Amino acid sequence: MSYISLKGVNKKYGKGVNEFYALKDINLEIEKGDMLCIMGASGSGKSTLLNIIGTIAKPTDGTYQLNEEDVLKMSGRKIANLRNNVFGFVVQNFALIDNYTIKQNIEIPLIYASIPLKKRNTRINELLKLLEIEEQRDKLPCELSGGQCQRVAIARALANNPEIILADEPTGALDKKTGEIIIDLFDKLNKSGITIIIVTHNEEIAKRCNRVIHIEDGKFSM
Amino acid sequence: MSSIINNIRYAFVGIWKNRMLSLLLILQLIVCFVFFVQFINLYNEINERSNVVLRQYDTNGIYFLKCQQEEIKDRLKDKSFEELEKIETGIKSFINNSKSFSILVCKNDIFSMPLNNKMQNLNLNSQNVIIKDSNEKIVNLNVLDVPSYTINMTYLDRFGLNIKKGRNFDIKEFDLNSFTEVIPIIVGSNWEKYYDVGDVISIYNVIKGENVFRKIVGILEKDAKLFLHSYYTQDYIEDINNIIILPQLDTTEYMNKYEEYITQLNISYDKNALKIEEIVNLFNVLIVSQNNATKDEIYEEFNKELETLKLNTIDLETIEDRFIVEKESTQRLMQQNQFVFILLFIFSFIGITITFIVCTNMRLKEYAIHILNGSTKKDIYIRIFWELFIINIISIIFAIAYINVELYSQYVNIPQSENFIYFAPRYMMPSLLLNIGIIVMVIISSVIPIIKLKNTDISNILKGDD
Ligand SMILES: Nc1ncnc2c1ncn2[C@@H]1O[C@H](COP(=O)(O)OP(=O)(O)OP(=O)(O)O)[C@@H](O)[C@H]1O
Ligand SMILES: [Mg+2]
Repeated sequence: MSYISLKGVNKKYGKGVNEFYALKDINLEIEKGDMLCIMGASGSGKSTLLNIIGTIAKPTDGTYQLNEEDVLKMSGRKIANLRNNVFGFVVQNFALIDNYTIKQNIEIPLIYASIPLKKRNTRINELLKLLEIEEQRDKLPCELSGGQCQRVAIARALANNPEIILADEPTGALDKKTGEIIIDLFDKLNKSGITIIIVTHNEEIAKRCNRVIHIEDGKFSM
Repeated sequence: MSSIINNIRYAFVGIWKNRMLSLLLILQLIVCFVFFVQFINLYNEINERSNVVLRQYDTNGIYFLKCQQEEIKDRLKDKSFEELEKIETGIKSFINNSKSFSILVCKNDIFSMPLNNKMQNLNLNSQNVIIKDSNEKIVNLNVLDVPSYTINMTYLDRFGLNIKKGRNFDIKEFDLNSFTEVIPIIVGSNWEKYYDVGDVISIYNVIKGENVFRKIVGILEKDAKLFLHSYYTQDYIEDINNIIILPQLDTTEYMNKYEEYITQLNISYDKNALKIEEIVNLFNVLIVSQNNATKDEIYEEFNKELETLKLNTIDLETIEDRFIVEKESTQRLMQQNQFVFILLFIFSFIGITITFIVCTNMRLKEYAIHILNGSTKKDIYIRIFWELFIINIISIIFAIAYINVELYSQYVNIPQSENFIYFAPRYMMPSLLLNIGIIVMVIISSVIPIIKLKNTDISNILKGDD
C-alpha cells in the first residue's frame, strides 16, 4: 500500500445546471520520499487536487488513505493535527493573515503544536534566516513584496518539520534565482526523506522532480 | 487542554487585532446594559426610594397639607386685593400662633457665590453676573451656583444638623427683628477648604438681585443628611457637601423683596394673581404636630380657621401617603416611557448583532488560515464564543462602574456604605437577565457566520481573497 492513496476521487462544484466536475475519477498513489510534480493548464484542477490531499477540501466521492488510514473518516481534531504537523501547505495565494505580523503568521502552526515560547522564537528565527526574510519579521504582509510573502508562506509551511510538503506554485511570484534557491531547498528536504508535491507550470522545476503528472479537465493525461 | 489555552489566547489576539470593532461592540453592549439596568432600576427605585426616606427619618407627626390649588384659586379669584391681604395675614397669624402644629421648612433657595481663585476645582456651574456694588458702581462678577437650602427653627428642632466644626443656628437667628449682626450660614464640608468658621463672605441673591454678606458659623459633617420632604427632591441635590444652609427669616420681608424685584424688572403682572399665588403657597408646606396633637385635632383646628376665612377644607396627608401618590404618578410616567425604552433596547440589540456578523464575516479568511495551520472548525466556533464572552465581561464591568458612579451621585444624601447594601441586590436580577439575553443574542448572531464556515471548503475561503 502506498503512502498516499486516492481512489476514484471526484470533486463536484455547484448544483443542477451549474454542476461542474473539477476532478473526475482520480486514482493516485504517492510513495514516501516522492518528489511529485503536477502540471496542467489553468483551471484543469491542480489546486483542487492539492487541496483534497491537504484536507482543506473534501472530495465529493472516492477514498483517500494516508499511511493506510482513511483520512475521510478521521475526527476533526486528528485531521487538524495532520494539517498542523504532517502537511506543510503553501497555498496558491500565500494565505497570510493581514493584520498579523510576519512573525505572528509563522508562529500559528507552532502554537497549535504547543511549542513553548523560547523554542518557538528560535524556530521562527531559523526559518526567517533560511528564507532570507529576517528584516521583515515585524512587518505586516501588506508591507512585503509578492515574492517575500511567498517566502513567508513557505517558512510557515516548514515550521513544524512536516512529512509532506504541498506547494501550489511556490515559485510563481519569485525571480528565477530565488525560485531556484527554493527548489534547491525542496530538493534538500526531499533527500532527507520528506515527500514533496509541487503544482507548477515551470518545466525547469518539473525536470528536477522524480515524477510528473499532467492534468487536463480534471483527468490525468499522459 | 492546550486547545482551550490556544482558543483563549487567540480570542484575546482576535479582540486586540480587531480593536476598533471590539470597541464598537463593547460600547454597544455598555449602552445596552445601561439601558436595561436603568429600566429595571427605575421600577425598583419607585418602590424603594420612599423606604429610604422613611427608614432614615422619623416622620411621625409630620403632615402635608393636601390642598386643591385650583379650588382655592377659584374661591379667591373675585376677591379684592385688600380682602386677599386680609386672608393672607389671617392664615399667617393662625399658622404662626397655633399651639397644635408648626411649619417645617427645608426648601431650595437660589444663591450664588462670587468665584475666587481657590474655588476653580469646585464642581459647580459658574456664570457671569453684573451687579451694583455699595458705591452704586457696576461690577462684573463670576459667580458659582451654589445649592442653597433654607431651614426654619422647627426643622432644627426636629432633625437638627450634623455640625463638624463651629455651631448650630441659634433661636434668635431665626428672628430678623431681634437680630442685628450679620446673618449666619452653615456650609457643607467642601467649603472647609476655602473658608473657616467666623469668615464673613459675600453671596449673591438671585431673587433679590443683590450681593449680601453672611457669616459662616458652622461647617457640616461630610455627607451630612438633609431631610427633604418631597419624593422627587432627592434628585436635585447634586452634592450635599457643596450646599449652604440659611436660616429662614420673616417671610413677609422676603415676599416684599420679591415684589420689589419683579417691579424692578418692569414685568407687567397681575397684583391679585400674585397675592393668590402667595396664599396658595402658604398651604404648600409640611407641618409638624406639637404638644401631642393628633392628626384629627390638627385637622379640626385648621379647617375651623379656614371656615372663618370662607375657604374650602383642607386634608392632612402623612409622608407615607404622599409617597404613595408620588410613586403612582412616577409609575404612570414610566409606563408611558416603557415603549421608548424597549425600542432603544431592541435597537442596540440589533446594532450589536449586525456589528458581530460583519465582524465575523470580515474575519472568515483569518479563521480559514487558522484551520489550515492546525485548528478545527469547532475550535473556531468556541473561539468566537470566547471573544464575545470576554467582550461581554469587559462591557459589564464598565457598565456597572458607570451605573455606580451615576447612582452614587444621585443618592449622595444616603451614606455610601448603606448605598452599597441597598443597591447590591438590585444588580443581581438585571445582570442575570442581561447575561441570558446576551447568550441568546450570541447564539442568534453566530448562526449566520457559523453556517457559512460549516458549509464552505476552507480552500474556497482562502481563494476568495485575491
Ligand atoms: N468553488 C468553486 N465553485 C465552482 N467551480 C470551481 C470552484 N473552485 C474551482 N472551480 C473550478 O474548478 C476548476 C479547477 O480549479 P482549480 O483551482 O483546481 O484550477 P487550477 O488547475 O489550480 O488552475 P490555476 O492554474 O489557474 O491555479 C476550474 O475550472 C474552476 O473554475
Ligand atoms: Mg491553482
